[in-house]
Amino acid sequence: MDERRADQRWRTAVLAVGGLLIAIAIIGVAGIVINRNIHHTVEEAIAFDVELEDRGDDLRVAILEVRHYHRDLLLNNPDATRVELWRGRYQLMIEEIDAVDRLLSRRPGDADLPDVRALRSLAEAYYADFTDALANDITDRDAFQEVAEDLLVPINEMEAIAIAVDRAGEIRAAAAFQAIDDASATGTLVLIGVIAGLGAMGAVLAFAVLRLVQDQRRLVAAEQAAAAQMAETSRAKTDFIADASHELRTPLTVLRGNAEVGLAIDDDCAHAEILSEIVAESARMSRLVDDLLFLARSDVSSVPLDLRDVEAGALLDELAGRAEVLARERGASLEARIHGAGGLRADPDRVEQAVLILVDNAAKYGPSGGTVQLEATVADGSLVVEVRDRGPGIPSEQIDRIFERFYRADGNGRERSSGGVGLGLSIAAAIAEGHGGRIEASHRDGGGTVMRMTLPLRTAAAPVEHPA
Amino acid sequence: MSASILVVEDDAGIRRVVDRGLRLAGHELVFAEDLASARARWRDDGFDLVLLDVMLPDGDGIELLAERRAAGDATPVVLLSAREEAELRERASAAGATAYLPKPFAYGELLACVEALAGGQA
Repeated sequence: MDERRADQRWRTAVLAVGGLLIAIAIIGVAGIVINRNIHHTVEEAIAFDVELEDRGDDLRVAILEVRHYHRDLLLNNPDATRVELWRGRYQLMIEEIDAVDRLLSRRPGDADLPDVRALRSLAEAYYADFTDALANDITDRDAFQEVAEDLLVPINEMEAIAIAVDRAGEIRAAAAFQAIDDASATGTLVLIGVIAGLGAMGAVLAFAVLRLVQDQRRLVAAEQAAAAQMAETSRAKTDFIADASHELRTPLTVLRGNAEVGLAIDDDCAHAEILSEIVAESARMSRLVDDLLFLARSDVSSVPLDLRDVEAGALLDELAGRAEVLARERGASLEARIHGAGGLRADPDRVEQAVLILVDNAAKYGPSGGTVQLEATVADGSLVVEVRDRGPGIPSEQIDRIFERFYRADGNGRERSSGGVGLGLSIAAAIAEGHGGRIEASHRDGGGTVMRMTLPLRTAAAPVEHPA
Repeated sequence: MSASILVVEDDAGIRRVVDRGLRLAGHELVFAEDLASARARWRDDGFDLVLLDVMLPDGDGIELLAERRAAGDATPVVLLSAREEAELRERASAAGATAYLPKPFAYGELLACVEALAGGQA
């Protein structure tokens, strides 16, 4: 349920991120398009419409100049200097007409543009007429003035055309600027829209991420609570085992004591054997309680060890003697090869207990009258103690679990009557771990089991105290 | 060699087995089930030896021991306890315990302890 919700949030977040990327791409494309549109419109306006307006203006000024010098000739004595001045202005006007003509030829199809060819023919006719008048009638003052007055009419017509050109440019430029305004307004609108969309998607993303973070935090908190709960349960269990073990000690004292007192009263009666058995079983139960307490303590804290500096060789030699006795009691023989030497920081009693547990197991589960091998070597700065048997071996699927508390390999003849409830290996493992080492079980070539205990040797060449 | 022994123990089973075992060895026993009655018996009657349980219904046996030692009582005291933490042993010896016998103890251990500490008093 929670997982599905978290899934949905992830999907929302991914969609929001995807949406943002797409929106950014759209903004980019829209920006480019709008920019190009504005650029094109501006180019168009400046390149043609505004220039047309300018040219129209210039043309009109040039025509007015021609009229000015035309009047000058009309009112004053038309001498050569004045005629040259007029001709010069006429040439300038023609140049302006050429310029407008060139400009208009770039837009041959536009209907709103005035016809400059009419202007040119008007100008050429005017020039021809006025030049004739200047040549012929210059002496006849009245006749010349009459022609000159008449020729003001085409000049005015030309001016009207120039004004039309100017007006057309003005109108077109205004339209172009309107188009620029429109394009930029559209662009602004599009951008505002995209930015709003971006903001919305950002908000969705932020919300989704926020919820995800909240979910994760809740999940972590739940996990921590569960872990704390588990630790508490485990501690409670361990405490219970410790308490129960302590409680067992008092009735055990009574049980054993009564049997022993019974034997002290008469050890030759019919009940003597029964009482002896009660004593033996009470003793066994006492050891079991000790083991339970040891495991319970090594569960909650570090293994209770009495660490001392000891010499491995001496410890193992002594240990091998005890192991041999133990194996013999179990109806097996021990083959010891002790090559281990070096300083150990260890609790010798606990190390001995661990090795004896391994030897005891090997002797118990090996074939009757079989041989248990005990070999000690030094490898990689560690003391390696191996105990090998020719027993039925441990099934592969169980080999990693046999060191767990109260675990007991099944289906291979290991029965309750052979002693212990699976505490031995757990204790041995706890002891090895308490020394910074470990115990591993593996299959022995040719059948059986190899138990390998590894204990780190002291690296420093500190003085070694030989156990007495 | 009979000794008079005060046994302070709240568990009836332990009281009975100690009674049987030590009476068989010829000792005289007085029992107390809690701290209050133990305190009265100990103060009023002299004993050759006291067997003192640590956890009693109305308090801690070690406190009674400390009390008696403070009053100048030098009677040998054997503490009995199902707990064997180092901290408890330290408290016991600091309070002036003569010996510490962890439960479960064997009859032989109890007897040896009693003979060693109370034997000379007989």
